[in-house]
Amino acid sequence: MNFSLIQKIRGQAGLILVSPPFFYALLLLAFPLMGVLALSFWTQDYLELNRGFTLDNYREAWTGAIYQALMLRSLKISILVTLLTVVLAFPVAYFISFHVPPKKKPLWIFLITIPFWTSYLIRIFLWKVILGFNGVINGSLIGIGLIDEPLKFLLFNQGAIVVTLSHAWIPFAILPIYVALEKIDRSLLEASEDLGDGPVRRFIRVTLPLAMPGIIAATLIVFIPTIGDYVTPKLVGGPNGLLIANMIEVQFKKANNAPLGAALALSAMFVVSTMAMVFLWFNRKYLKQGQ
Amino acid sequence: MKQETNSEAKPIIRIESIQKNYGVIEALKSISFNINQGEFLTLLGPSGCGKTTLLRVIAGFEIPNAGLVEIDGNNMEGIPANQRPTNMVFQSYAVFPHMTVGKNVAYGLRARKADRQTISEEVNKALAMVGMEGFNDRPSTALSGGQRQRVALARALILKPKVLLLDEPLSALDKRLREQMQSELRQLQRSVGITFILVTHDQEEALTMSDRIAVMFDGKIAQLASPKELYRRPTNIQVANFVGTMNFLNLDLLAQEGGDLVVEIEGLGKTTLTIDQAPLGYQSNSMAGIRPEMFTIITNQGQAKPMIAKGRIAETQYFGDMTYFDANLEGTDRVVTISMRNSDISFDINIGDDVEIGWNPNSILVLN
Repeated sequence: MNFSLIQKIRGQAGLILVSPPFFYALLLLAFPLMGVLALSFWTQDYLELNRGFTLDNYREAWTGAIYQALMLRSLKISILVTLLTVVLAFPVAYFISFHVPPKKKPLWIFLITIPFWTSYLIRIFLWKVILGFNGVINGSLIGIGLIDEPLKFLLFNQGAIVVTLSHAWIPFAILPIYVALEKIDRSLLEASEDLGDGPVRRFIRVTLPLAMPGIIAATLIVFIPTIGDYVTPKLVGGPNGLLIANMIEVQFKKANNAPLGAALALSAMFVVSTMAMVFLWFNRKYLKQGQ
Repeated sequence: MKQETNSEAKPIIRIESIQKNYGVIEALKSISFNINQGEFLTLLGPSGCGKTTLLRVIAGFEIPNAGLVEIDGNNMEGIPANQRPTNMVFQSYAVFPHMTVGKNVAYGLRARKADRQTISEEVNKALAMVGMEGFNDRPSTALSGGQRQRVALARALILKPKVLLLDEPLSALDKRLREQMQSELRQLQRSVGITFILVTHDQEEALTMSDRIAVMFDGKIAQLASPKELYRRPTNIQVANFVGTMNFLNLDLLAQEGGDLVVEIEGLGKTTLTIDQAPLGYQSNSMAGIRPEMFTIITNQGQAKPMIAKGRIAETQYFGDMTYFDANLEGTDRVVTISMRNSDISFDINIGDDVEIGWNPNSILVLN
């Protein structure tokens, strides 16, 4: 067997290995997405789909006051959730990476994944139990005599969404940040100290820039899916807590206007991608500045 | 020993009874010595002997359990690494990957909040010093090992430390580059006049670069001496074994006449040694040590003969300029290593040849 033939077989082995996930993605992601894209240019004519090309759905999605308001609210909540999650995740990741003895690190990582042992829905319901009118917090506060009436601002508002989503996503933020921190050569931190920096300056000049890839990953991992979440707002968001994803669901189901739903979904996708891009661009600039 | 008692040299570092334990492991067992201003001192020893720990104690990265480190007359107790007048070149170089070469070198000056103008001038000077002019804007990830090493040096020297600490800085380089960097480091040290403390496990590196070498074993300094002294007069078997090659032969004391020792050396016979050749005296476990180059294979009958032993060649290793022979000494099962310059060998010596081995009683050391 000559060399080029071996190379050829190796190349094909690579193709064979990637093809199942490739076709899977094509079948279950690319095709449906193209379907949604096509749908967004059509119109719903009572029970029939009118397949004539139109941009009306997009016009409505971008100019309708309700859609604009929901989109902005979704963005606001996603940004808040992302900020809160990353800010809370960083110290945890830092602690595990820098202060937990190496032998105990796997145990800590394992502990962080424990919330995933219960279903997402159950976790949301637990937040309802905690934040609710007769819930854990109100019950405790009344019990110790701090308040007479249950607090009503805990549940069924946007704050409850932020708390619930942050809690749900925090392990996803801890892991990439932890990995980035683990990868930092400890002698770099000693070098920084050796060259005259105290702990705070060292963190700003060395640890943080080197942890950036993890922080970026965490930010995107949290930001992108939260904007599409519709279960959490429905269960803990209350009347003022509905988001764009809820509207998309309504359009596809109750309102029987799948084309508008498709246009809303793609618009949301566009907005999220743009924001992610802008974020990446800013970050690259920040890292360049450090050079 | 001469340099140690030199009263003119002023100690820049005083180390007194430094002890460092990790749990039950004693990494440093009460180490005391002085390092002189402008000296190139090497801490030499096998891995795990505590040499890096000692360096890190001086740098302030490790806090000793007991003892005193004094730098330039100031007690360093409680002073963190970032406030000590020392800088370090790390084994991995620790060049910041997210910064350019220029920003790396400027790091310490920025930490000191120097002004832009000064920083830029000093960075250029420092880069020129290590032969890397014009590399300011290179990303540090695009550097070779040797270049990284130079950046790490420039980054440390730009701060004009009183002492530069080097933790096995050359171990990651290939042989040729390592040799080049050895002589460059030595020249650099002479020109800047800063005290260098180098940690290495490479005895050749230690011998070629240092003013003095502290040989460490098991958390203690076994010998602190100039390279010459260390090679010629190691104080014990362990040091002799670690620094260069040494042949060890069994030794019996026949008589002690005044200061002289009359001894019977395995394979070499009876001879008289001066007390000078037994720095720590004769003990029952003493051995006779002789360097390979102190043996000669007699190839020229007219050659002046010192003492003669007989042996049979068991192995030869040819190195171009030198040849190493392993010879079995007659009447023993002891194999000794003999090194000869090839220009001194007038006929072929092959495995199995019976040869006469010349040696000189002066070159024998009695070691424990």
